Amino acid sequence: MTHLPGFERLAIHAMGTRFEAALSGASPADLRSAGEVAFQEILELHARWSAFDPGSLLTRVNRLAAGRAVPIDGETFEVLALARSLWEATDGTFDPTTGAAMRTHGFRPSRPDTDPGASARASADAPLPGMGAVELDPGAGTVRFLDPRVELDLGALAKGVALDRAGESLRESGVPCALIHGGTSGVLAIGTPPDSDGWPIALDREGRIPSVRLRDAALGVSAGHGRGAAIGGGGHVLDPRTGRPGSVDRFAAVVGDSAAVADAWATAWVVRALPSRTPESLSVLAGLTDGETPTEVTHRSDPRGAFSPPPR
Amino acid sequence: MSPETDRRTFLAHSAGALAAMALVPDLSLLAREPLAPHTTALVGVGPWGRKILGELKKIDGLTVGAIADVDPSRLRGGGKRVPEAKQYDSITALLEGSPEVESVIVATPTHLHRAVVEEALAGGKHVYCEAPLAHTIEDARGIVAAAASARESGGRVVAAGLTARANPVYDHAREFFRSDAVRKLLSMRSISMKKTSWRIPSPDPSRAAARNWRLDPELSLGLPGEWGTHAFDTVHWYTDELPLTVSGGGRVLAWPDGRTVADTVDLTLRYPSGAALQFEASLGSSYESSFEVFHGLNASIRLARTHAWMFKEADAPTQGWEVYATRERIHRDEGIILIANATQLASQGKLKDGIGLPNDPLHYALADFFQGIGEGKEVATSIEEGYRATVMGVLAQRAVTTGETISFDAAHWDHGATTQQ
Repeated sequence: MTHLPGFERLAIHAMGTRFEAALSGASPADLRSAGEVAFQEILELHARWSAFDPGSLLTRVNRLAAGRAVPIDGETFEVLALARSLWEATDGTFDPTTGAAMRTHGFRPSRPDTDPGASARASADAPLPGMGAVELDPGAGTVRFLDPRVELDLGALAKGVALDRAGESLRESGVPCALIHGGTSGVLAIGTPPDSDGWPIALDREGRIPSVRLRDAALGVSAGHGRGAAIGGGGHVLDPRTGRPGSVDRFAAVVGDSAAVADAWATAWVVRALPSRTPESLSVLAGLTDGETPTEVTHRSDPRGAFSPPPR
Repeated sequence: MSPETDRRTFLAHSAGALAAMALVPDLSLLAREPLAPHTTALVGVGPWGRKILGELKKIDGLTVGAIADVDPSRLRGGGKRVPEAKQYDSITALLEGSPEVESVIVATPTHLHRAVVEEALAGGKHVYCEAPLAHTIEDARGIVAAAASARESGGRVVAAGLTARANPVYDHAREFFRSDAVRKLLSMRSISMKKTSWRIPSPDPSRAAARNWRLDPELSLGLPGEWGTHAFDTVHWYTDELPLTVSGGGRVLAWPDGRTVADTVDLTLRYPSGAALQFEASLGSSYESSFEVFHGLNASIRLARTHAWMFKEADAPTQGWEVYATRERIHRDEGIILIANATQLASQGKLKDGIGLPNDPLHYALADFFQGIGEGKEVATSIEEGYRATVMGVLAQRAVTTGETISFDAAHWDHGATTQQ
């Protein structure tokens, strides 16, 4: 995030990335405290949903749920229900049952504190089990895996949920103007910056790809190449149909109301184009990262997140 | 290589480099048996209360049957975590509406603990009360008296929310500390650093004062009370010593927003053995986070929530087990990782993922409380120990606000109850 004079800025490390916020519209002390409460929400989600923390609730679920129903808190239940609905809406293209396969392909470190059998059972070149193999019992508040290969990795969804939750917190605290991002792969905008009709977001450093202006909207960005790359910063994306890494050159940027939904759809679009399945509420820009190949744009008329052509 | 160079090399690798041993208990023994079905309730659903809810979800056999908070938005937030729990705006309503609740966890602001604890105990519930127990010694005595009465008349379990004594890695390190591995205790240091303003926003102005109780000098024990209490208890548990005096000061350096409660403090607590504890805390920096160090003639022990290490002096006697210990490099020093049952853990691959506890220390304190209820055993941290730690926090904050050296005397340590010590 470039220097923003007059803004209160905060940052934390969570979910394997750096969340940063720029806030405006109130006294520095009030903005600071509002930002801290919002980031506290993110830290609490990290503590429960980290796939790398041996003490997290998600680790516990991954360790036990293939054998029995595991009680989970209401918010974790909600995010798994959201993951399931997104898995269905994307025709299985967004799939968080990818944990074991990600390790099998070397995209995640080995994690011996979880069920060691999950990795062993996950073949390197087999379809992912899918959220259909994850049974959610709303009455009991439990989750159970119907396929022993399931290992949940909420990486493609949790950061977006964290941004949504932080945004709710900031709005509840009365912050009228804010931009939050999580590792640059997800962005949430509240209001607009002073004297502007939107927050200008560049999707690549070289200016080869259209930029976007956000106003009370969220942006999810995903790319096939590795973490810390020029676009996005999202990790490698597996194709759930094959269990193998998807195209390394493809990227997708999705604008919508929810950072979680935008993030998930961006992940899905990196695997394959889904124009007929994408909800009208989302704007999608997808293509190849070379900047030369024409990009695919879906529903670009949304004024809250209009894509602009790159300067030539 | 010249003799001078040899001498420098020798100094760099001996006098300046201590052997560090990470002290980790046998992690395979930390898996607890599932509890008998038990229904608990949480009063106070702020950030710490929500953290408690997260840990409770990882304890088998436990149901959170009810939550209570006077703040509607916090109650709603807690309800998202535990939708199965009934929601109340007071402990009174909770006790009336949820008679199936067997225990109550009290995580309200410190100055509200006493009323909630007394009412929960009067209602026949087991109680876990966060520490410090209260913002005054008088209120802390009231809690101890209520706990003593409930224990005697109804066999209720009452625990203070100090996590060190239930922390397996601290317990393991304490065995080394008390086995003369450290030899003579020379000094102690405690650091608590976190970048946070302690200011809580409140869109509803009528809630602003209540939410910002930590910044109210009439209600807040400041950093010495809210954080120091835990460190002071750890030192007491390790050394069996209570301080003679506390002195120091505090300033508003990080957040000059009109507050008067210090955001940065430094204290010295002197003990009968001659050793002193230096306590530093700040809301303006997160560097070094939180730890305690015990410096001894033969070795020093460093405790850091989920981890513990022992740094041996070069001239300290070598123990036989050290030969089998795993070594790692920590900055300039070659350390020895000491893990009970290391061979088995290595075969399970558990050594690859760090050498600390898998859960937050809070988890073990809560689990210990429920085990105490289920098995009828004494809890790791009695309410009387909570009282002593609270007294240290109250007087340490007094030292900060007055700038005077405060002496502890027998009257301070007298909690008034005549039962369990």
